[in-house]
Amino acid sequence: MRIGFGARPAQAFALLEVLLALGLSSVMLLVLYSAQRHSQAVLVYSQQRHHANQLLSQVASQVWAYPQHYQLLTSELNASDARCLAGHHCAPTAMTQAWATYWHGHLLQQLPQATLTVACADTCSAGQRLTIKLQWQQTLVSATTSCPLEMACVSLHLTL
Amino acid sequence: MCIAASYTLSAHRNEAGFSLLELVLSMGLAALMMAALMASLMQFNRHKLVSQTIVNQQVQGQLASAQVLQDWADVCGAGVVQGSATSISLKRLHQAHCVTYDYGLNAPAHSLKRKRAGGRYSSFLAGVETLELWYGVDTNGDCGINLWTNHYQTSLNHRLHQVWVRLTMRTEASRQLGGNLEGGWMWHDQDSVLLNNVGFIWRVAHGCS
Repeated sequence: MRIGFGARPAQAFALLEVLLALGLSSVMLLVLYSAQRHSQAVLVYSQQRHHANQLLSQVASQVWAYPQHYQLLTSELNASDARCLAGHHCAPTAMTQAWATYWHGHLLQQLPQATLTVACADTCSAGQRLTIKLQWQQTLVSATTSCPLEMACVSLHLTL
Repeated sequence: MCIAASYTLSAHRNEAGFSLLELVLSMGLAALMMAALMASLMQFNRHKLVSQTIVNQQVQGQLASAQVLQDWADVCGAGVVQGSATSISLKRLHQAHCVTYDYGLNAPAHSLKRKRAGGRYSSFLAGVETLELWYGVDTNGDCGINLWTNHYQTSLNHRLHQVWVRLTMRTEASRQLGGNLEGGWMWHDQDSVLLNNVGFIWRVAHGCS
């Protein structure tokens, strides 16, 4: 059985036409998909930066609270330290490590391969600059002088 | 009335058209492409909803922390007088006078409330599900926090350094997000809102800082 269109001459699509149409459709779908993927990646990056800023703000607060022990804020100890942040008396050393453990267990989990560093430019004395730096893996970011390729970096400078 | 014979559908004419196989194949292909397009559009729609919600959450969290920190910026006198896990009383400047202000959670209204000494409570920050306050206190006089507690009473032996404010914020979001949430989000079934945690630290200004 054939369904025709009256007086039209007998012709159909050539294989080349069909293939071209299919190829064009595929390319359009692929472009749409890629645009969405990129948009999602940008959204994730925006969320990561938001978390990173929250974390830096908390780290800065604790640097001021423990000026003698701030290096320990970047270390990670065991989960029992959490008691120091929940009603137990603790020495400054244990308290800074408790914060480090808390950050590793909460905020840093949301950043892939994240590293947190707290370091002084020269010596850690009054008037010197202290830098809190957080970097994590992020494919959207290109390399800069202070940050390697595919790593996102945020930093905060404090004057002691 | 004249109807042109050349526009009639006819199975008897010896003319080229689409075979049944061609029709079925093309319909199958079209269906596949439509399905892919629909899936893509639905994914795009969800992505748009999620991104709007994330932006709302971030803005709401930043506004909440800015509003609270700004309100507590001009403390005076004894500063924080007392505090519990869900409320805090502090001295603030009001028209050149040091006045006690009370802050707390208004659970039924889902907001933070505030009142000046002798006054009535008024809403201070909207869209708050829970409030949790922790007080970083120095109990041995070495200018370092050695205790984080959720009850504080001003005294000579206890010096307050920081207040850790932990809020659970409510964000209006489309019901379409209800069943399929991003990591870390909580869905409030009863009110159809998203809950997310916001935490920030208020550093109390004094001689040690």
